[in-house]
Amino acid sequence: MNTDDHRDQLVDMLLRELVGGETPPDVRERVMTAAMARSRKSAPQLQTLPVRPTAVPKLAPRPRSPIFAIAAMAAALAGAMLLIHLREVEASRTPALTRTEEWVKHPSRLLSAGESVSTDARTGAVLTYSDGTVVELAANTTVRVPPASWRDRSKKLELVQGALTARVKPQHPGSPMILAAGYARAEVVGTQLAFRHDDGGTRLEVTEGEVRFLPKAGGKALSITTGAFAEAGASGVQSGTIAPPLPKRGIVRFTLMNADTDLPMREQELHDGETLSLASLPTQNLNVRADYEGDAPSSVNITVTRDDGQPPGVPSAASNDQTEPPFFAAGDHWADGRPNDCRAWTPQPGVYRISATATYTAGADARRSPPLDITFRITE
Amino acid sequence: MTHQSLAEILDAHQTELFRYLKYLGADHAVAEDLVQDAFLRAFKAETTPDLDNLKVRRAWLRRIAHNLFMDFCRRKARSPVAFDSAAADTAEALWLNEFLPHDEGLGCMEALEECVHELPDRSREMIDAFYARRSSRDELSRQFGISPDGVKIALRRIRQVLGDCIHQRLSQA
Repeated sequence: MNTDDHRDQLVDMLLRELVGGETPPDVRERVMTAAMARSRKSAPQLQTLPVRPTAVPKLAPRPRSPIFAIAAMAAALAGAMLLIHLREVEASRTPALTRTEEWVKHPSRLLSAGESVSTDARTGAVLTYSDGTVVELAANTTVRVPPASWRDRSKKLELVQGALTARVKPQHPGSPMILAAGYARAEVVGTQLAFRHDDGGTRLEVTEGEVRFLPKAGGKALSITTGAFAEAGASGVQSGTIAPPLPKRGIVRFTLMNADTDLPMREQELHDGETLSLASLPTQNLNVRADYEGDAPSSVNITVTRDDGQPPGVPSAASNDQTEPPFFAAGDHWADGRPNDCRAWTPQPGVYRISATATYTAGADARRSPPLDITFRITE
Repeated sequence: MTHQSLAEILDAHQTELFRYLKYLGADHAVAEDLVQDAFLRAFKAETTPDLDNLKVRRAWLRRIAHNLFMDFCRRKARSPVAFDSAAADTAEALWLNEFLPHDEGLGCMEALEECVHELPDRSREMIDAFYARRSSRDELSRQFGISPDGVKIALRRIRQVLGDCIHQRLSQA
């Protein structure tokens, strides 16, 4: 690299800071905490050393350039542009309460620096930023928006107590979203995470992406990636892999139901390719139950079709998307007051196809299981 | 070094050291870690230079940060930052001559702010799109009707103009 390259690099760095808002971080607290901790550990040695207090001279104020006086109009214009820019910066880092209940304590819809929001045991709340970043507050949680410098583009939230989850849109590496709590802070470039703070410590779990975890006691920042956690507390810092969640397996079988009794017609499941003779069954009032394993799905979509294109004869009131188990192909009604009351369906002879897909939702995210499909034949 | 001295040099020099490390090629996260390490190493040092002498103090902190960054590059076998002594000397000379004399670069920043406002509209829009809105080169290419390679060249030319402008302003100040 020659001098031109180095100057180009220097100007590039200055532009990233001036125009791009990549403000230098403040490491004072971390360094001082680490230095204090080191002093406590090595106190005997320090006492024997000659320590000479050193005064650091204040930097002399830089002489102002005469360009300001000469170009007053340009400065005014620049000031107006700067004001617009600052408003954009402030808007980008200011969260809004977008979903809450009336008993959530909050000062206003937009949370400015210094303001906080608290949830009680009955509800949570959702904060949304202008770029689509969403922070969901659990019950009994308090967060505060800390003050920020005028050029600081970073979104910052202080978790005073409780727990939150966040889906953070990609942030610029120089202006990560910062989630701070008692024992540590997390710097998020764009990811999905959970952050919790109580008397025991501050814990970060990363569902997707990568987050920097910086213990307030000092030491190296930890890079926490998908499926990992980090925890800082009075006893120190630890990190590792999050225990895998319960499997969400979705729909695993279909069961032939007797709609007269609301009980399974037999122990065996309804197999793919099976032929059912109506005359051989104890009733012609049938239904088919879609059975799941693992977590209960948030909803199940069941479709019944005939291979000849004719209507399958499923009761019209039956909804394709069912949210309460058990999930019946021909629907479930509560008209007679009995729970799990399946509607009666008398299929005409023909070949039928049933497909069921389970959907699991968490916040705004939804995940669908692979569909379970079977084909069976009905004869007289 | 006392805690009070550490606090004072932190307040006075942490921004400067961060900028210096970024200038040498460290990314944001690495620069932040190394600034922290540099001050802790300074605090732990059994012998310190004359901390009352601003020039000596700055050079000492810069040398610590410089060595930490070189160690980091050596540890990272695949680091994109190649360190050779000649380039480091050139970088150091430029830093000393163009950046350091102006209050941790604050003079540079103010000069740059003025220089940006003097750019032609199209250049200023390109700077704003690239640095503030973080548009990609492809997006800039479409927006300004030039090839992606042309965007790179155009940005470099604008930075060259700004570099000359900063140099001129600071030499007049």
